[in-house]
Amino acid sequence: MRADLSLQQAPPFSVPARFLVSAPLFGILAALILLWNGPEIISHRWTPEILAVTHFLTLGFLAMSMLGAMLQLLPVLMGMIIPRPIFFSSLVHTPLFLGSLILGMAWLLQVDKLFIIAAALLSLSFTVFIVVVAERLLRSANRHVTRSMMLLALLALFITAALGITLSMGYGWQSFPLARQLTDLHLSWGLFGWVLLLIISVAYQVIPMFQITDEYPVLHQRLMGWTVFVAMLNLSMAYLWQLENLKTISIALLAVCLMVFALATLWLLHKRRRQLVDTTMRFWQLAMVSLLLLTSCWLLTHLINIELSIFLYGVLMINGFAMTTINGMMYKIIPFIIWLHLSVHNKNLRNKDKRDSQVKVPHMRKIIPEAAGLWQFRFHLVSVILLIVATQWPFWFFYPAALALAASQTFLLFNLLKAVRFYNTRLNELSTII
Amino acid sequence: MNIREFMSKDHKDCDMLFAKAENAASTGDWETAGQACNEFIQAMNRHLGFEEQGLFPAFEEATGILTGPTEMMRMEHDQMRSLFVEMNDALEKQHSDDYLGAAETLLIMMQQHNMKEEQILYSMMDQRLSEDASYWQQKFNDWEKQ
Repeated sequence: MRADLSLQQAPPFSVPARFLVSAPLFGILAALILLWNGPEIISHRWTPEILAVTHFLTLGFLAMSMLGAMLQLLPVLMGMIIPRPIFFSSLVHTPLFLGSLILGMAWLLQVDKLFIIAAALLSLSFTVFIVVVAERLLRSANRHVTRSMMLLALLALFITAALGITLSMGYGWQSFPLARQLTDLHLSWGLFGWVLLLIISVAYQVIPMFQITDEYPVLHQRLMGWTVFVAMLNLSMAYLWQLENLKTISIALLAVCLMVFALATLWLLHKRRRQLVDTTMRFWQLAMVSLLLLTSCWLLTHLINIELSIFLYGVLMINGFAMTTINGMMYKIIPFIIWLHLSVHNKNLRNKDKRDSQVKVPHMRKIIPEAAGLWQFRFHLVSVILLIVATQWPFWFFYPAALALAASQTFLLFNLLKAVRFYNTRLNELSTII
Repeated sequence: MNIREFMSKDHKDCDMLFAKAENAASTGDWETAGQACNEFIQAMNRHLGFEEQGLFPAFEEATGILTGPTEMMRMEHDQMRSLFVEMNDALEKQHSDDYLGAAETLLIMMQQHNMKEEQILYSMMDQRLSEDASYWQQKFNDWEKQ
């Protein structure tokens, strides 16, 4: 019974903060590499520079912030405790940070050995995270659909990482065969398995709670995770045995899932009880529109046989959908946990009868002002639009798009660092009193 | 309805009152905001009071756990009450950003608190309390009359 009583508060502030603040650093790095190299790097599908950019975004921004957000949300959403959180988060964060950086450098500098070092670091980070979190999730008394979807997402992360490590061994060791045919599988499991499943599983809980909407339909919640997962399994078989029809059917099934999720979310948001349009809500709307555009582009290419750049899909999925969702969530997570930690410190003062010495705990809008989030959203929106058009007309739009990405990520980093500084200042004030 | 169902329903009813007050404050309709916020805080105080004086002591007696989840829930109730005070201050000053900021903080605090109760604590109460759920529901319905 005692194990089910895990109603403890959030982990220490530094646990999620180190992940969330690291993410935009990689966003900026990706933008700088685009600016440095110019439009020729998207002249054909996988140049080393574009592989570096892609991994700075998917590992450095997405995986980084998703693991950090999970460490913050799991105790609340799933009622589970991560033991020794600071040690555990260092063991995940440090190798993930270094591994992502070194992997990008391996492509940019063309040094084979760096691939091996990156693979070792990333294996350590993901193995520790997956083993500990999956074990906790399996033991959790919570039976919400989010739990099974998170487990599927972790399985997808494991498959993505295993494929990625196999591929990087191919780059790093001459004697190890470079299995390029696994590339599509690796990116599909990463984006449609891990990223999509995790975001959907979190949306099922946070959209109804924080926007005060109805719940997602029960059938939708029950079927979505498994349908996406089965579609991914079929897609894997189609890639491995070159089954073109199965590939089309699997992608169509995934496209239907994306469309159903995006439309359901937009509908719930449209019918929400809260009429206030907050910044996070705008990010959710943009993310869902990106998913709809992604599926529409896929349909267009199949129905009227037009050729669209592969990078268009990448931009819509990575920047338009995933980075947008996470960026929006950061504006809820960071100010709230700062408020929470400061108010707990304040309570400690009250318990010590130092009522007069208490510092007034600022509400969330004082920690990151609404206008700062809203302006960063506008920068992000412009960067997504420019990146989309740059995939079609790189000559005109490549540099403006890369600049907009750099500006939006710098703005995000600035907002987050300002909030962290605010927290440290207030904490120091409180500590001197205690 | 068991304890989890009727108490979860009351969470939702409180959410609606919260949204009504926030919607009015965001459009500068301070009269409606004042009334709705008052109604919301009354409904919340009734809910929190029923838990603190009714359900929690019964749970602590039935399980012998005094420093576990109920203690944590009481602490979170205090955090919410401090935000009620901030919301009321902002209402008096008709300061929209302060009202919406305190309200947003409360919303997240309240929702994550409700979730812990709905997904864990209420189910445990349904299993462990000796009186049946209809007794508690009746007690809750009569609570405001006390």
